[in-house]
Amino acid sequence: MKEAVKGYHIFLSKSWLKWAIYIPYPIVLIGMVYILNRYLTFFQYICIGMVCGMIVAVEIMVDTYVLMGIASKNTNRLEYLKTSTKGLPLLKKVLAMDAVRRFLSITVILAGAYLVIGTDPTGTSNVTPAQCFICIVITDLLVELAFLLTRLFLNVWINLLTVYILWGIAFLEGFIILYKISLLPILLVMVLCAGVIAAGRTLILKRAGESYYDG
Amino acid sequence: MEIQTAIKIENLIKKYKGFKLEIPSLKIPEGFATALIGENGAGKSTLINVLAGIRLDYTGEITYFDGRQEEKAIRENVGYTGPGNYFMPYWTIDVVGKASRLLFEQFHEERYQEICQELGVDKKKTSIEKLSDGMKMKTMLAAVFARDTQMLLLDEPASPLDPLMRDKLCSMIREYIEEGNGEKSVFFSTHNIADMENVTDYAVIMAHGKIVEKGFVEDLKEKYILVKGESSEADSGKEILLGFQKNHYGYEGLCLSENLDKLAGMDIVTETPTLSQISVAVMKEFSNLAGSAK
Repeated sequence: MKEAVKGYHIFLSKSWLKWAIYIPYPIVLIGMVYILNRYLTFFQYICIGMVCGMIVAVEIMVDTYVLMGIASKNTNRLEYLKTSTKGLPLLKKVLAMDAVRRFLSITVILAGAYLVIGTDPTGTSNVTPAQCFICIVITDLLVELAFLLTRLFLNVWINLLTVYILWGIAFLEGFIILYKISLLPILLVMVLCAGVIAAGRTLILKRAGESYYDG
Repeated sequence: MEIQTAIKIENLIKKYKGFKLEIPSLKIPEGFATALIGENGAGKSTLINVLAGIRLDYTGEITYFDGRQEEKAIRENVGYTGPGNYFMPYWTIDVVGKASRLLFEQFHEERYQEICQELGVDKKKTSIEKLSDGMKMKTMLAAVFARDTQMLLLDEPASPLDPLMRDKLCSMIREYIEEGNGEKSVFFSTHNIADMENVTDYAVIMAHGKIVEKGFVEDLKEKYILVKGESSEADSGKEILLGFQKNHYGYEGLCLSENLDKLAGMDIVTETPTLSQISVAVMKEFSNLAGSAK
């Protein structure tokens, strides 16, 4: 576990990034929900939609500095890792740690948003724990889907385009709070999310393995 | 004196996009600095990548340290530096140190910092991708020399370095071998042997994916003789000499010592060639340029 955390922080590389994803990132987004909810809008779905969109945008942009392009064909950015027998196992741990960190970040932020909305003294919260949870899973799913694309190419413009498109889709999550959510959709989305995470991880490791072969 | 083998290659074949690396047999001696010399596209990087274990699509057998060690120990004991994008682009020099500590058990971070300082690698917080090629190479060298290894595989280490740093690199290689007491070896590739000649003990010359000459430098200098003669006798020397060159003043080329008697009666001067002259002459014989040069 310690090695996975150290390895992940090595991939985070930028010192400001290591600090930013753990402290300002969740605080700023929860703060954004607070301001939206208390001062700018009566509509809670806008608050949830905005924060989901912002999470997707931030996570994709953070990944620019972490694993962008890692699954590109003929990637040669792993040469140093490949000179060690610990290199690819370390990469596997980093991918796992990255997924865990992201899920925890999204959970903290959306749970915080849920609490902010739920403690609004002027209104009644329409957000249920089930709705909050499905937003967490759908947001994670959208981010992981984005990575299937952004990690294939070493191109910042593709990242930006993906941010624009998925921010809009994530915003629509806000409308989930207008509906009752049962267990089945939650389970389906969880399975889908796990599948996308596994597919992304498999693709990266497959490309890493292919990089041992020319042509 | 029996010389141990650091790496033994047998029947190595690697095919890649119209190129074929073919080495029936090669023994890299232990305790020496071996230069792998060849023009661009000769197959030097391909060979070093295979030896470093970062390319696996080959057939043949490679034995490290006479088969005395397991695969994991081999990777730990072999250090490699390569060209191009070697580290993750957003890593900084400090992060390279931290990553190396995780990747290699015998990596010494204090030594890494000392070597970085010695080599003038001072932009510790700058991303690797923003560094010059020279700084990137210095970082790679610092990372590899900070490990306890038995063998270094260095792919074109001198190419991006300034002359002062090349001299420093030669000193580092020499110190590395000397502190190993005959058990440490360096195998480096270069297309400009002149800068690394003073540290080279054994030379392997490649052309078109094949080894065309190899041997200890002293032996090669006995095998070949540099011959210089008058322009009027150039035509006679042309057929016998390797790397034949003619100018207004005369001609020069390399001659096998055993063929020197074929130049008997000609007005020639002989000298001991440098490794650079031997390499150029041998490569010219096998190069595509050989036809136009003659």
